[in-house]
Amino acid sequence: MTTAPLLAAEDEESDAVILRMAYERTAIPNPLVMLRDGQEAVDYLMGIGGYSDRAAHPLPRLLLLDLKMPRMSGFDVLDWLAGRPEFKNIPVVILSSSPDLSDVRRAKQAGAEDYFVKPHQLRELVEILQTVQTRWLSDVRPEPS
Amino acid sequence: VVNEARRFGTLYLQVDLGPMYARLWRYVWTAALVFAGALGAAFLIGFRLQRAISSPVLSLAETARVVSRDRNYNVRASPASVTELGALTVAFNQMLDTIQQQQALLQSELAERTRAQEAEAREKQLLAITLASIGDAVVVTDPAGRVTSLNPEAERLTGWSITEATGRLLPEVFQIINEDTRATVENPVEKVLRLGTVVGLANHTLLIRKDGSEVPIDDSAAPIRQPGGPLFGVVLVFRDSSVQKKAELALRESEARERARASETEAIMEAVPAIIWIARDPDCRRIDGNRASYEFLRLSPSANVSLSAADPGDRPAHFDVRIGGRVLRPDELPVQRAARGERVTNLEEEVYFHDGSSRWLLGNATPLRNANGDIYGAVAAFVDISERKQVEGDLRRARDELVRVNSSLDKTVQERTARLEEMVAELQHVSYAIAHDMRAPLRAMGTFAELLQEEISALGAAASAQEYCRRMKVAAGRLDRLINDALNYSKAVLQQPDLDRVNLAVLIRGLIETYPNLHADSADIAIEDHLPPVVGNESLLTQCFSNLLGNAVKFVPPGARPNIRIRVAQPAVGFTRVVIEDNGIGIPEHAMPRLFGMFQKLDNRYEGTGIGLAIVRKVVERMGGKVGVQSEPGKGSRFWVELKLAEDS
Repeated sequence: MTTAPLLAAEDEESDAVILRMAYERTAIPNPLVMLRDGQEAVDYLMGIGGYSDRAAHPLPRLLLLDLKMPRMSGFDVLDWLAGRPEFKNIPVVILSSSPDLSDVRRAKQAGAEDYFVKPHQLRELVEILQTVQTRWLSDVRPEPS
Repeated sequence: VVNEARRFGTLYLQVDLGPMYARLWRYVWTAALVFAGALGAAFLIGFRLQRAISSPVLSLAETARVVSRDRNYNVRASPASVTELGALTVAFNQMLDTIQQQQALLQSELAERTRAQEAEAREKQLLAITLASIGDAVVVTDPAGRVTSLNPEAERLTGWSITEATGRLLPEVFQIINEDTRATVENPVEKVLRLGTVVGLANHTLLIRKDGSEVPIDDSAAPIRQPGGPLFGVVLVFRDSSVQKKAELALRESEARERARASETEAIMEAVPAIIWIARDPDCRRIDGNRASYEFLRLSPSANVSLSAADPGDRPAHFDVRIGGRVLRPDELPVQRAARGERVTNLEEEVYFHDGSSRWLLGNATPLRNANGDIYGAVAAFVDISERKQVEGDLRRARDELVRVNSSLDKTVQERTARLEEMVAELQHVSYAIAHDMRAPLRAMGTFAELLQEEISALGAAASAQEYCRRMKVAAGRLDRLINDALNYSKAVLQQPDLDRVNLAVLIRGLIETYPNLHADSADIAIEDHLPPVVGNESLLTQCFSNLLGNAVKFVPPGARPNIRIRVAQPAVGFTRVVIEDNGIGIPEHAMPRLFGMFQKLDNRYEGTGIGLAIVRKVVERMGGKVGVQSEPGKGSRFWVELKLAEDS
């Protein structure tokens, strides 16, 4: 049986590579599915296009969104999700290069559970993923800090 | 039967009387018939006698009675046939005729006399009234010079009443002296009596009144006589010359004043710089002006300037008068309007000369009224406002130009503002793009350099290769921070921050917890006072205090543990001062002026962009606050930030 994956939307190719490398340094059991923008994430969730096979593309355990992406940004996906109660059990974590307080606040208001600024070192990114795992991927979920 | 007075008894005799009475009645009847016959005969004889003798006498007597009773001389006695009586009657009638003629003569004479008397009475009355009502004093004397009458004015002037004066000699009542010499003047009546002609009085004569007061008088005296007849008396006429003198004097003065006023008016008209016109007839057939007006109208003095002159040939033809560009009719002109009773004020008119030039006048016109209040003309005064008009026109044009320039300037400003706003938005967009797009490759460079370092280290590469990787990582990190700071600075400059109530205590504690370099395991940071809520922007305040605290922990001597105290002071009402005191290396005096400028790095031994304090200053200013520092090298620094207190703190 396939485990529910981590669904990550990241348009920047090097960031995607780094994210996967960091992911591989963690012990997260859920597979990591990389998508290139928000639109693909929405398509995946809706089972549209190449994602119609739910067996091959099961609903994710968690959404990891960049904010600035072409087609649909992280904010657009959050707004879209607000009108979709069927996905309310899927937590959304933002991993953005913006340290802006206004972006943080806006993302939280739009429904993001957590917000991390992209670090400069792989080690730090690994730590972030481990935090995400602890907070959102454990069977017993602790209350978010 | 009586015997010796003694009554014996009574004897009765009885006789039949009838035949006696019958005979008696016969005798009575006979006597009555005889008497009646005798009476009738006597009447007849008497009637005949009366007709012949007593009738003419009675007629004469009756006529005489009527004449004497009625004064009627027209009646005549009837002629009688008896000769003697006839003669008497004729004589009587002749007498009556004479009496009648005489009486008619008397009556006509009487009527004539009555008429003459009435006329004389009327004349006397008229004379009396004349004398009483005459303004002059009149005294009449008899030929001896004794006062016989004086009129009320004479009573008033002399102070003598008619009853007091009558019978006195004139000099007593009418005492006169020379005004200058005070010598007694010969009494005019004496002079008339002496000369027998009319005499006048010398000037400057004073009359001494009964109460001793003096009155200047003029007088004359004339004899009263019938032509060629003897002198009946003298009439003296005089008057109070003081009233006359005063009146004369007053008249002379008023005339002089009038002349002075007229010449003053003329002088004023000539002296004032105003243009004056005057019309002395309600139709303004002629209008005169002062010299200024003739010069203004380019006319020779004494010309008729009226545009409503009776003869069109007299009207000036080289100009017309306009208001608002419309040529005025003669009856619309100000002097003409005023001459109809209107008060014309603040009238602005254009005098357009037919040579094409134009002058502007401003003025008033007023009706001229005589003593009865009837309008007999009008006067107008105007000033030449052509220069002012010119200036006004220039001003108006300048104003219009200014308005035009202003509006185009407004437009320019609006356009430029819009363009600037567009540029700012563009710049913000670019900044945002830089933040993301430029930093992502940097991140990649840093991260891959790190990975490379790990791998070559595992492969046992040369130490220098590992050092290159480390330098790449550090350079990428520095560039990233530089971009981040530059971005924050541009945001602080470009964005208009929303100011809210910010809980400073929560914000600073949150910073200390969030930033790893501020954690308790790497630095001692003590908040020693209560941090009050302030008016500010959370994002900007976060930048401000993260930079200040970051500097405080960073710039410490090598190996030293940062020790930072946060305190609060109250610099002024409505403000709070947050002081951040560190144990750092301090700032040299020479660096102070440039400390809060852009790209000011003091010590290359410390990692930094040189933008942090510039951002602090900028964001604090954007929130209406101030920033400053006290420091000495080797003794630490005390950076302070002044912020507006929130109202409810």
